Amino acid sequence: MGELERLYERFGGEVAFYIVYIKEAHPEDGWVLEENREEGVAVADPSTTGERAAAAAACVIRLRTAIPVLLDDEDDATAAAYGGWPDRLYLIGRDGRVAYRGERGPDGFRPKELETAIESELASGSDSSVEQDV
Amino acid sequence: MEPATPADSPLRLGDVMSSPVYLDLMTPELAVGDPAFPFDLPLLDPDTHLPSGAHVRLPEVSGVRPVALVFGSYT
Repeated sequence: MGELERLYERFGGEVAFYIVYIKEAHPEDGWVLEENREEGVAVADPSTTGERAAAAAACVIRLRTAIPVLLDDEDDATAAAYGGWPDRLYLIGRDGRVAYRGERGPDGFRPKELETAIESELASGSDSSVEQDV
Repeated sequence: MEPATPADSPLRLGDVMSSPVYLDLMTPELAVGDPAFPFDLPLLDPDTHLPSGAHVRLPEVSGVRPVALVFGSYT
């Protein structure tokens, strides 16, 4: 999360950031990872929005993230539309279209690519009140 | 290669990668240039860590400024 926090600090005034909290990647009742066991991270896959909120809260507290968190619905509709599982980055442009779609995480989870996409999106904005040629 | 998975794990990498449910969740329906899926999702309160009662509707936010989305979970 460190890289994302850095991007949030750098661009948070110009870009809205949201964590979309989706179906667990490695719940105790699914595919368990040794790494999580060693770190004491054990979560049953939430089946209600309330349970998902509790898991998200534990995550936010542990990671100390300041990025606002949205909860995907119980039917995982948003994760399904974006192919967000287990993790993935997107940038939506001011035209409401997908400007950047990262590869599937964890291997394809690349904050640097998101940063480049944000820089490109902001540079392409023609409605900026800031003079570009200073 | 499969990350270290305990023997008592109900599922393993192969199970997940052959599961229609998980495949649906990991396969994007959107490509670059496509209109973003217009979600309307509850916002977690940053102080209480409970659902705040507020919702965020993507079209309302993206109409004002770009939106970076970080999909993921605790585990």
